[in-house]
This record gives sequence, structure tokens and C-alpha cells, in this order.
Amino acid sequence: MSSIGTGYDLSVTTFSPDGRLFQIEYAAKAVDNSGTVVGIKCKDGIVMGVEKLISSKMMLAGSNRRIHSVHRHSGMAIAGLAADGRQIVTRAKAEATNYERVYGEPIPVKELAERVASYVHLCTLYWWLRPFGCGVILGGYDRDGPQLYMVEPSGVSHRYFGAAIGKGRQAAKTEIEKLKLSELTCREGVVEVAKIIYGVHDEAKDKAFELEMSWVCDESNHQHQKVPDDLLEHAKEAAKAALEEMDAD
Amino acid sequence: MFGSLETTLDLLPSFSSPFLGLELLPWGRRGRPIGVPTQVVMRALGQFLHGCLGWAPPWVNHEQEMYFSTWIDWETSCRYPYVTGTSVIGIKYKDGVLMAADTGGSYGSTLRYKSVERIKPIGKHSLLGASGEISDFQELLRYLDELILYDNMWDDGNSLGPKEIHNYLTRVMYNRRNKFNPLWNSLVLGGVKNGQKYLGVVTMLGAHFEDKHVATGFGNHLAVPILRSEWKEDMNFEEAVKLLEKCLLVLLYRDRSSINKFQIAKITEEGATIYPAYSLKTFWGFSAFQNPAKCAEGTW
Repeated sequence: MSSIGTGYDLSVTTFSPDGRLFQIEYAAKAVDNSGTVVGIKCKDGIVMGVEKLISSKMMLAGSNRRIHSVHRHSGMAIAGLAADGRQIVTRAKAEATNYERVYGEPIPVKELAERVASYVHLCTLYWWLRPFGCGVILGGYDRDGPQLYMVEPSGVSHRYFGAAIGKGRQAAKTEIEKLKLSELTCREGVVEVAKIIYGVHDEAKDKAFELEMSWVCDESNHQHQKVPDDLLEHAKEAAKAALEEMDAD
Repeated sequence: MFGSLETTLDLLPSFSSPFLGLELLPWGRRGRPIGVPTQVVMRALGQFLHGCLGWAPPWVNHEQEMYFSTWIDWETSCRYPYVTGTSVIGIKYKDGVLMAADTGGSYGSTLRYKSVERIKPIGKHSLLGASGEISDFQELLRYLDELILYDNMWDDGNSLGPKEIHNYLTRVMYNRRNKFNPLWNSLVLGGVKNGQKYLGVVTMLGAHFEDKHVATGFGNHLAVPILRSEWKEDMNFEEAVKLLEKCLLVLLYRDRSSINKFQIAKITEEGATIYPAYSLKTFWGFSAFQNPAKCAEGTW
């Protein structure tokens, strides 16, 4: 960001002389400051987890969700500005239902990711719009099996085995790389994602957080759902235990 | 039969063009009638072109009388059902609600389709049975599918019960009737949620009510009297099915659109079950059936 203050950073429709769009980079900054979001593709499905930072102790547990269902078979986890994310979720839902209305079958995850990315990208093309201040991880299960995509504020989308965005993404990515994703079941994956999110959370610096998790897998009947309460509790316990063990070492 | 386009148009207020014998079709945005001033201008333009070039633009129709489309939306109103299903019967019983219907689909008076499922589960707690236009029923199922999907996506543990679905249906039906474009159905909605049984009807006009036993169409005349005299609170499954079969058999004998292939469905606290179609044993040897034309003058 050495070019800050040299102009060219007030509009998404103006390139800087070295070919960058600063507004989009600033949008990416908004994502990097948010709680960590992790998604992994296991052998039988997708697991997504969010480190949801609690802004107030008075807030009802479970409020301000960061994971949303988009259709029966897919869901989205949001990092960055939650309100911007809801806009994307609404659009994704509309695209998914519209696809089903026209073609009579659920939207393929690849198609959904492309459409969402197009929408996000659209908001980087006009001076009267601002880019979305959020990145989304999109997980779904269709006839080609489980798939995981990440869409960034610039409108690019890539397919991943494992993806992480937000504050702790670097640490989270190195942790994901250590996993044997092709052998991991979603039930095990839930615990691993919980461990990662507890691991990257900086207790000294950060506010308290709530772990929000969802999956789409064989066990959930290829439906995108919140991870069942008992499994989530188990995962939290395991994550806390792993943390203490590390501290002891 | 059901007014074809031509015969329907004959009944409508028509307006002959005072000039040249040229006719005008309602020509406007799909589903919206064009206004009178526009029509006058378009007609004049059409006549002018026809007069000097011998060619008329596509909105001029030479065969039919001109008619004004200003107040009635011809694109969407005055439709009639094509493929229809006949009666549906629903009753409350000990564990929930039972529904029965045959699987026939009539094309006018022709029994055209033999295995149309007219009872479907809606969400976790409800069953929907439909008589009337089959395609309208299918459209309705699409609406409901989306409704249920959007409800499920909240993933908050709440779900739409029969009461909510019934109310939603009344809104849809009444709304469409007010657009002069009704969904041509009588609907029976049954369900159980939180130990509460629910059974109701919605008509194509949006009229709705609840009752302990209901029937649509011919069933209103032939099944309801039987139900009124024989239905009891808390019948067990066998008794309830027997009562339904009695009604179905009467309908089979007297309703020419019904067929001998029935489906029974139940909804209880455990969920919906739709049983495979089956036939009832019939007996046509009653003396009244021997010479059906005997007391009916003018038949053969």
C-alpha cells in the first residue's frame, strides 16, 4: 500500500498508473480484519466454520449469523462486513431458486459460484457502486460431489480443497495443509475446523467469539445444515483440550 | 365443450370497425391491454397503410371482429380447466388426518390420464389434496416448494404447520381470483402439528373453512352426507379407511369422472404416508343399474 496518498484510490473505475484498483484492495482489507472463516472439503462433504467475534456481551447467543443456507444443497460463510454478506446471500438464494424454476433441478455449485462471482464483480465496475467489503466461502453438494469455492471482493472465484479468510487466514491455511483431506470424514472434519479456529483465535487481543459451524455431507443427507448441537459441543471440547495440551508443552 | 378461443370471443362485447371492414387485435405488452387512444391510433395507422400500400401491419386482423381489450385482460382471464381431477375427501381420525382421492385425470369428459397423484405432502406436517385443474395444482406445488425451502433455509428449528400453509393457500387463491385468473382448484389441506389436527378447504375463489370432515366437488354432494351420519370422533385407522372407502365407492358409482384407482394418505405426528394406488371391489348387479335409462327420459 505504498501508493496510498498518491491519488487513484477514490474510485473503483480509475486504475492507478501501475494498474491497480485501490478500492478493491481496501475492500480486501475489510475482509482481512474480520473473524477467521474456514472451509474444508472432506471425502464425504464440506465443513465450514466461522470465528464469530461477539461485539457485545448483551447480544443473544446465535444472533448475527455468518453462515447462511443458499439452497437445500449449499451454504455460504461470510467474512468481512456482515451486512454486505447478507446482500450476497440474498442474491445467491435468488439465483438458486431461479435456476431451479427454469431448469427443474438444483443449481450446480459451480454455476452458483460463477453467478455469485459475477454479481460481486459487477459492483466493481461502476463509479456509483462500491465493492463488497466481504469475502464468501461457498460450499455445496451436487451430482459432481462436494465442492468448495471462495469468492473475493474483486469478483474472482476459485475452487479449493480448503480455504480460509479473515484475520487468522495464514495460520489457518498452514493448519489445513497439514490435514489429510482426502481421508477425513466430515464428522472428523468438524473437530479439525473447530481446533483450527480456536487455535488462530488470539485471546489476548481479540474479543470473545462464538464458533458457528455448518456442513453439507452424506450424514446431513446432502443438505446444508448447522452442525448438530451435540457434535458442535464435542468439537468445542476437543478444540479446548487441544489448546491446553499445546500450552502445557 | 370448454369454450375454444373462437366461441369464447363470440360471447364477448365486440366492436365492428366502422371503416373499411378492417379489424384490430388487442396488441400490447404481454398481459396488458392497450389503451383506447392507442387502439384508435393503431387502427387508423393500419387502415392507412392497408389503403395506400395494400399491406396491413400485423396487429390488423382480417378474419375476426374487432374487440376492445381495454377493461378485461384477455391474455390471462376467461380460461377454463383442461385436465381435471375429481373429488378429494379428507377426515380427521384418532392419530391425525386421512385423505382419499382417485388418480384419474379427465380431459373434459374423456378419462385421459389414469395415474395422476393428487395428494402430496407439504413440508413436515401437512398433506395437500386437489381437485380441479391438474396443471394449476402442479403450479401451486411449485409455489409451496419454494415457500418451504425459504422457511427451511432459516435453519432455526421452526417449521410451517398446516394452519400456516392453509392460510397461505387462501391468500394465493383469493389473489388470483381477484386478477380474474383463478387457479382452478378445490384444495383440501390436512395436517398435524404439536398434537393439533387440522383439516380445511380452499376453493378457487379463495373461500375457505375448517371442518372435521371435508370433501370437494361431487364429494360435497355424495360423500359429505355419509360422513355427517357416520363420522365419529377418534375413529381408529381401520374404521376411518373403511368410511373413506364407502364414500369412494359411492362416488365411483355415481360420478362419471371418477375411476377405480384410489390413493389414501395419512398425516400424523410422525409424518406423511401416501399409500400406493389400489382398486375397490365393485358390484354392478343392483337393479337400479340394470336399466339405467328406464326412469330417465331422453337417454338411451
